[in-house]
Parts: sequence; structure tokens; C-alpha cells
Amino acid sequence: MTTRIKRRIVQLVAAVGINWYLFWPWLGSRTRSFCVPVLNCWTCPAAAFSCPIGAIGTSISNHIFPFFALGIVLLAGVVAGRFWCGWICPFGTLQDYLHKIPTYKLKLPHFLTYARYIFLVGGVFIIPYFYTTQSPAYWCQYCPAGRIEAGIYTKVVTPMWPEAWRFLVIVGFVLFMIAVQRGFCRVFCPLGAILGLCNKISVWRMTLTGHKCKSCGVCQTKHCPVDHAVYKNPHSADCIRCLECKECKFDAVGHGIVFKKKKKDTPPEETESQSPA
Amino acid sequence: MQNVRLIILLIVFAVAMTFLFVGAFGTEHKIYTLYGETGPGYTGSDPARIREFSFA
Repeated sequence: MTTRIKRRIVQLVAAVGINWYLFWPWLGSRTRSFCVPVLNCWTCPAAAFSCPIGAIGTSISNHIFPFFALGIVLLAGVVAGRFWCGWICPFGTLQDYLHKIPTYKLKLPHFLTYARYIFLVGGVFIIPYFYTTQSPAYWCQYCPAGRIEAGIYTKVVTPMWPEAWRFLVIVGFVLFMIAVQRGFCRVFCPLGAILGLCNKISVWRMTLTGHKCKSCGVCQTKHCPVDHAVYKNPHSADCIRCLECKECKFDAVGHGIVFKKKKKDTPPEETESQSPA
Repeated sequence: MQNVRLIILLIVFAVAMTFLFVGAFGTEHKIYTLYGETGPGYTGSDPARIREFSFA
């Protein structure tokens, strides 16, 4: 079984697990006081847990420091970095499937990936703090995860056309995610921005065996869903740790725990961060 | 370099645990009851409120 198939199974199980009120709605929504480190809008009646970005934004709007939500995100990041984006996030799963639609595909310029830090600082912290005095959180009003996951459900329950500009925002995001694989994760996701910063220090991390890597670039062009060259920087904030680059035919890419002792017979160039280039 | 990363890792871990502790035992949990248990949106059927909460 390839890593991609394993990932698909885990993603689907996680999507159902995080939205299990879909099957047992009579149980209520008591678990929503707990955040999960993935983007899954808690406005959707199926959502069993709250979205950390929604919780942070709501807290900031009310001028309350979001200790709990931020603590969960930081802890998740310290443990595994953006592993949550690659394997657990239901909105990431949706994007993976949207990208399978056979249409024209775009290659994203790398500098656009820095935009997610602007959305994090501006959309989740600064604007809600200074320009909104109450919920709903500023970011949530534009977040496509909320619009798609919760909005569609609301449309089913209460048939009513959305305002034109909101409808256009949804359509725009969907088209963007079809054309660019993991487009939202790479350019817009504020949660991915926080977890990505933790990629550099997390306990569980990617490793690269320098003397095995031939810098052929197959891991980037053929396997990686975010078009990242893991052989140049295994700890990059762009890497969603989907582990698909482990399909490397030279067995150069791996993963491991930071506290694990290195083998004594390891060649001097075999380090977890050294680039062969 | 590896030691620096380890030190930063431990600092961030300590910060995360402190935040979790303060959040769990402090008053921040009130934020989750601002809109009942449904989060910052509105899931009812009143069209006016659906417009107001903009998820629709």
C-alpha cells in the first residue's frame, strides 16, 4: 500500500471523526469547547470540535487572549508541525479531491505562500482586535471552509440564495483550489502559517539522507502536493508532511524523532537537514 | 544549530502547556458559550440572522 493510499484512508477517517455529529446529531455539541488543530468550521452542525482559528478570532474580537485555542495549536505544532494539514485536516482532504478534477492547472509562484502570514496577523489578530467589537470573527466571514462546509448545510436546511458577492467568493475559492493543488493551504490558511513555523522545531520531523539524494527533483514534481523541494529544506514551513516524498526511489527521504540517537555507522554527510545541493 | 532548535522546541512546548493550563482553568472557556455551543456562526432558520452571520 502506497503512502498516498494510506493518507487517503486516514484523511477520510479523520474527516468523519471530526464531523461525527453528522451521524449522531442527538448527542448535541458538547465537545465543541475543545479545539482540534485543523480547519473544520464549527458552525457546521456536523462538526464535533471547534476550529482554532474561529476560536482565536472570536476571542480576539472580544479582547480576550485565546489561551486555550493557541495552546492547542502550539502543542500540535511542537509535536508534529504541519502533519495535521497533510493527514487530518478535512478541508485539506476536500482540496485534494477538488484538484483531481481534470481541468487546467496552475503553478503557484513561491512568493505567494508568504501571504498566509499576512492573513494570519491581519485577518485573525489585528483587524478583529481593532475593528470588530463582537463576533462573528472577522476571518470567519471570509473563510471558504466555513462557507463551503457550513454554508452548504445551511442552504439545504433553509433554501435561500446567498448574496452575490458571497456566492462569488465561494466560486472563486473553489476554482482556485481546483486549479492549484492545496491552493488555500499554501496561500491563505492562517492555521497552516502557525503550524508551518513549528515545522522547523517540531519533535517529529522529516529527515534527508544527504549521500543518497541525487537531487533529481522527482519528489517535488511528481509526489509533493504543495510543490515543495524537500531535498533543499526538509523543515520548510511549506511542507505539509504528507510523506509522499518517501516514495523516493533512492530512499533518501524519511522521518524521525528529534530525540532519537543517531547510529554510529552513519556517514558524516547523513544529517537530517543537510542539503546535497 | 541542533541544540538551538531543541531549546526553542522546549520553550515553545512550555508556552503551549502554560497556555493550555491557563485556558483550561481560567475564564477563557466563556468564549465558547458566547454563541451557545454552535461557534461563531448561526445555524438556525431565521433568514435575517442567516444574513447577519454571513456563512450562508
